[in-house]
Amino acid sequence: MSSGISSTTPAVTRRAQTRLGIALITPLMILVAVFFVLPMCSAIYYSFVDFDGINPNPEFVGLDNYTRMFTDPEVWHALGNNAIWIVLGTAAPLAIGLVLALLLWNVKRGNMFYRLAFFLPYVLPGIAIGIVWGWIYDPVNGWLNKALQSFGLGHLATGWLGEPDSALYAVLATAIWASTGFILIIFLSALRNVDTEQIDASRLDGANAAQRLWHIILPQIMPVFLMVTTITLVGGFSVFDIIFIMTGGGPANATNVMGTYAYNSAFKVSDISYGTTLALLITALSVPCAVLLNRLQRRLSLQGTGA
Amino acid sequence: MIDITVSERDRLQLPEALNRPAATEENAASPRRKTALAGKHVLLIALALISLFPVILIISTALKTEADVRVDPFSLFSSFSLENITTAWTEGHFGEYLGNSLLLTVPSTLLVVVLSTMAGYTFARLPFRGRSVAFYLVVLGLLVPFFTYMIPLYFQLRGLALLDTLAGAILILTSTGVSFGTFFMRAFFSDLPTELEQAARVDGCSEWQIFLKVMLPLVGSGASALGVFTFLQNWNNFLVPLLYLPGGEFRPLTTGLYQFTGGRSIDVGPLAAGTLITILPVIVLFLVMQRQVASGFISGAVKG
Amino acid sequence: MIKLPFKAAAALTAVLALALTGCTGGAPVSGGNSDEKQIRYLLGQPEAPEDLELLKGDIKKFEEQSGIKVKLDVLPVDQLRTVLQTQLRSGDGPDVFNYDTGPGFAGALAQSGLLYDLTDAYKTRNWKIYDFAKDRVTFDGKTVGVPDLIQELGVFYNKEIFSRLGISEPKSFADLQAAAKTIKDAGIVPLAVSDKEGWQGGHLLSMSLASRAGSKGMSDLLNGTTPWTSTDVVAALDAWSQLNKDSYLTPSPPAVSYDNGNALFYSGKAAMTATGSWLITGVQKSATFDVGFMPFPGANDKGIFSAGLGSGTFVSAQTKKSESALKFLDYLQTPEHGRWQVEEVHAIPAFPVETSGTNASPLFAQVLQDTAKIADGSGDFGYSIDTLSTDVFNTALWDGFQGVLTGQKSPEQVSQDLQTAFEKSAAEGK
Repeated sequence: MSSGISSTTPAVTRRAQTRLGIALITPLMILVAVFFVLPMCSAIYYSFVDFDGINPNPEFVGLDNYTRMFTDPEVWHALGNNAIWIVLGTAAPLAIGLVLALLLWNVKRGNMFYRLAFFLPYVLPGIAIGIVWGWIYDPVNGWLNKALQSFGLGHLATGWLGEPDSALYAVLATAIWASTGFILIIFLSALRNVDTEQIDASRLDGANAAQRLWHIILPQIMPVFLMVTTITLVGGFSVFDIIFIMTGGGPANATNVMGTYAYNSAFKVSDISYGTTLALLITALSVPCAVLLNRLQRRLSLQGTGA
Repeated sequence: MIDITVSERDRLQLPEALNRPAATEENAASPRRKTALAGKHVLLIALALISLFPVILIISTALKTEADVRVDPFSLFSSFSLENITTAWTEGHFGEYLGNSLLLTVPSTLLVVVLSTMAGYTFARLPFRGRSVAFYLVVLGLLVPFFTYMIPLYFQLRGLALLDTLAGAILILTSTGVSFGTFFMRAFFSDLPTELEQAARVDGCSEWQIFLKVMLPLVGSGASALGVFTFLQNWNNFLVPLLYLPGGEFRPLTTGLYQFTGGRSIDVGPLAAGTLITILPVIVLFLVMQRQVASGFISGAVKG
Repeated sequence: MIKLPFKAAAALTAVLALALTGCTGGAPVSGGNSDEKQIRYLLGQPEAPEDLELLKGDIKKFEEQSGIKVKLDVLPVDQLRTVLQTQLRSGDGPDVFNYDTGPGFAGALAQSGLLYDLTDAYKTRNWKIYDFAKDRVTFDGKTVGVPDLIQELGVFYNKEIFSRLGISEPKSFADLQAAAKTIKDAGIVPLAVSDKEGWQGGHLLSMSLASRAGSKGMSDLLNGTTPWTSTDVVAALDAWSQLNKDSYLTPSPPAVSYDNGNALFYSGKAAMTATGSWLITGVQKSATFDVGFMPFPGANDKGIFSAGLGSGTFVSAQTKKSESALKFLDYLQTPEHGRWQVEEVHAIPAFPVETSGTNASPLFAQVLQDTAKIADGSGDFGYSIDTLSTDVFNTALWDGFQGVLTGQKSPEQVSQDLQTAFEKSAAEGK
């Protein structure tokens, strides 16, 4: 289905449309200009000076912040963590959300309870998440270590958030726990639109569950799948809150991602210019990914759902 | 004429799949299927408990005595007292914060929905020179981490005499929400058939009437989905009230919770109680709206 | 069928009307209070949450005595920094505020001319803050703040466990190790050390360094006479690293939060905990056993405590209500306020207070006696490093300490990092 307006639109209509269009977006554009574009320009300006948050007339330093960024080993380390986060933090909630949705699909009894149970983590305030998972991951009395011991897996017990090898994955697991419910709810509704007759037909044809999923269910929910992927993926670039709350980027920077590194540079060490430069890099990196996925999503939705 | 078109369109919009009873457990009669279903429930209950466990920990903590929380924060339901809830409500002023949260969240959510709907329609259906530049400018907001520009924004706000005012915080919450909102609502409007507006135009409707009377009614589910999503985002927003409402007069629940985090220690009991107060309205909203929300998201994506 | 979308549209239109009026009308505008009789007072969240209620009561007393209203504003400490700087700069900040005294904190603000010069007030109003404390809030010859408490860093221990296992206060590091072994063999965590938040590292190193380098050696490090790569620093870091390797600390200290670490001590699951004198309030409230407080031992002696200045009270350079603000500072130094501080908050004021009649616990009385020696110069005390260092140095210190405990870095590497950070701060003139 095309949303384009045909070129035969009379000039009168086009002028009327332009007038309405401008009228409709003017309030939004003013808002965006004042509260986003202008401060963004200041932010870009910050990246070319040496601003510590106090001195009102910071010194112009040219590209210093940028050269420093590209030679800073911590940037590469943080980007590596971002990459892990983007891959696992996108794949896992999507996979788990999909599996849960398929499990819940057509379950009538207790459906609301299950939905609420999986969705609740998504609405918890960050600080509560940080404290509660601190009790789960605590090395001495933590619930996770206790659980492992009671299953005879005591040798796996560790100080989850305090060991450089496990800390990032421990935070990631919490993030997956917190975000999967939202994805599940979306998938569940996507599944409601799937043509069950096709599935029944394929079942008669002898298709197994995996084949049915791959050939019939997935193609039908693909646009939704991609929209969720876009949101999650872009979120992976700018991830900040949950790491900041749970480890602050520690121990000794082990869980630093660009977001926490930028924040710590700007506010812990009062180097607002460098922190801003780092944040601009995150933005620059996430743009192409978002554009790519947006294109893919449009193409798929044009093919897939016209039918 | 318009009415007929709308109802036709309406039928198109709600696919049969939604109304037709799906194959459910009730239809599954064979014993093999029954066992499979029971197994499914066992698995789902186990997973639900894992998902809920941290929430149960919070509830348990909120209901423990203060001394117990301090000495043994880990144990579940090891004592019982309502003192944390009382503390959160009285000393913590959570009743007041609840009101402030509503004052911040409701108007900003409504503004996001309204502005995004108007802009989404423009970006989908009203072409004019410079439109795509405007669109990318709006959507860029999705990709830029908030802390990149939160400090300059502070000065901006002060310049406008909006610092520490409800209006200022509401406008910022709105501006952080419209990027996603516009992107989202555009998808809804993009898919409405051109015949609709052409028919309306033949009928003598002005462009404004086409938007208001023909198109707007068709994106209700999308708008309500956006509304709920934005509500959740704004309800849980922490940085905006922290930075732009420094006076504490309009402190909402999220920054209110932080009052229990001391210099080094955290007053976990009242914090847990406050958390329950914070998520309660959200749970209610979820139960009331969740079906609509999800279906709104779906149609948005499908039509993308 | 048509019902639902139509309803939504009606709702949207209603919403539009509502939102537009709501946006231009209604919203109240606050701030800009020019009433001389009201000052805004900003402070970071107090140590123990219940202290806030006490504080409010104290402020009320001031309000009644002076007729000046105090509008209290409380922020989490980690947010205080960002918010305060922006507020002071923008001119709509608080009139009076509580902030850290070190060069990285108050010093930085003073350098930018954001703090009210109190040098004259000290003379004319006859304030009696200890000289050593006053020195710490004097930058470029201007005294800009009123320090409000002294803190001591050391090791709390469970006397019951110690006597049950026949352990006495360690007289050397080897003693401590031996004691830790006995405790560990009894199935108890010897030393509850938490370092999840990171700042604990500053205190932990301050303790061990004070006992290794002594007060003179430590001040040489802090003023740059001795480099941070010195053997004392390495040894002080290594002491913790060894205790950690021998499993005498909480497993994975960087995974343990401050509260969870304290909970181990309160519940008797850990025999010692290393932190500051502010824990006394918590100990009195939560520990059901007698508690002692000792310095972290040196290589061959029982070691010395570290003492540091807590926060101080400052006045904004831009305040329009300096007279009321100064009256508030007067109040903070009255004997009544001092006694209140000692008796209610268990905090040690930075000016002489008659404490003989107070109902201090033995534990707190010990700390009071100790700190009195700082003032009269009869005691030997180490420093609390992080209150005297810049943010750049502290970040290196906190990260480095975590690195030592996780094995990511050796004590030598960290001491090198500290030296680098120290030089960087010095180069920036901080």
